[in-house]
Amino acid sequence: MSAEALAVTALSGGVGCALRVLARDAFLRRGREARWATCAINLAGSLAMGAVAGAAASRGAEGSLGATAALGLLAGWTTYSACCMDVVVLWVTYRRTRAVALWAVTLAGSVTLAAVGGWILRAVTGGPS
Amino acid sequence: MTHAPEERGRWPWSLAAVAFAGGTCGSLARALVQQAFAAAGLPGWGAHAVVNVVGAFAIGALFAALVARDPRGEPVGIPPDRRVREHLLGAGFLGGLTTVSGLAQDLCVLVAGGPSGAAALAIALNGIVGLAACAAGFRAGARVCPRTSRATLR
Repeated sequence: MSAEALAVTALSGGVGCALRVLARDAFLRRGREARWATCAINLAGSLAMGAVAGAAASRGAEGSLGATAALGLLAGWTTYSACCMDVVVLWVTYRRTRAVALWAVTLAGSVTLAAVGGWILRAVTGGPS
Repeated sequence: MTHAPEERGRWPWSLAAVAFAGGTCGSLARALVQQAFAAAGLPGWGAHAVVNVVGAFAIGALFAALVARDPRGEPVGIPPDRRVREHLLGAGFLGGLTTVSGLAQDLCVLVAGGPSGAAALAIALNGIVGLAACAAGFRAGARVCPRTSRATLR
């Protein structure tokens, strides 16, 4: 990775983190639970990641600065660590069904949505599926 | 993370700025790990698994150090005066370091046709080892910081 790509990844990741904090705050203002806000953010980011990765691959633009910025933004927007912590807190406070549900929804949902994102992109651009 | 109700509506913009600063550093650290993996000829999904497991352990320890507990010792949330630290290091640095979207994309590619065993290993590392690391970090942090973890919310 070039110095330019490193800087773009770092800054776009920082922007993704800031947007996540604002989005989470908006969820909390609407009275949603913080842990499901983080879950929704991760699922949305995975859907977009599938589409962006598919778009970059279909144009042969994987290493371009635009693709690097988009992927960096989504990598910063989503967070594995906060989700892990939510699951562990649910588990140690004896809300174990919810802990398992949150983990299952995050893992299975994010992989499924990344696949769906790639599929939608191919359907829209008419590329091979 | 679990937060107290009074967090709602408190300085979202300044906390977002703090998360930007931490997230930029965390994202740079993730990119450097990816670069090191690529230079060593190791697969990119391995870099994501490593940053996720390390970040999970770190957030467990951080949360144990910052969280307020009720009289029974159960975690109830981050007190307002520790929220900047939590956003700089937790939501920012560790949020930028770790990634769910990258992991999801890795697993899509691996399941669709990666080397045999790679998908299973990636699922085990992110699905089980990361969670165990977070719980271990939480226990280790509570042991190191018993005084702060007895703090009250107000």
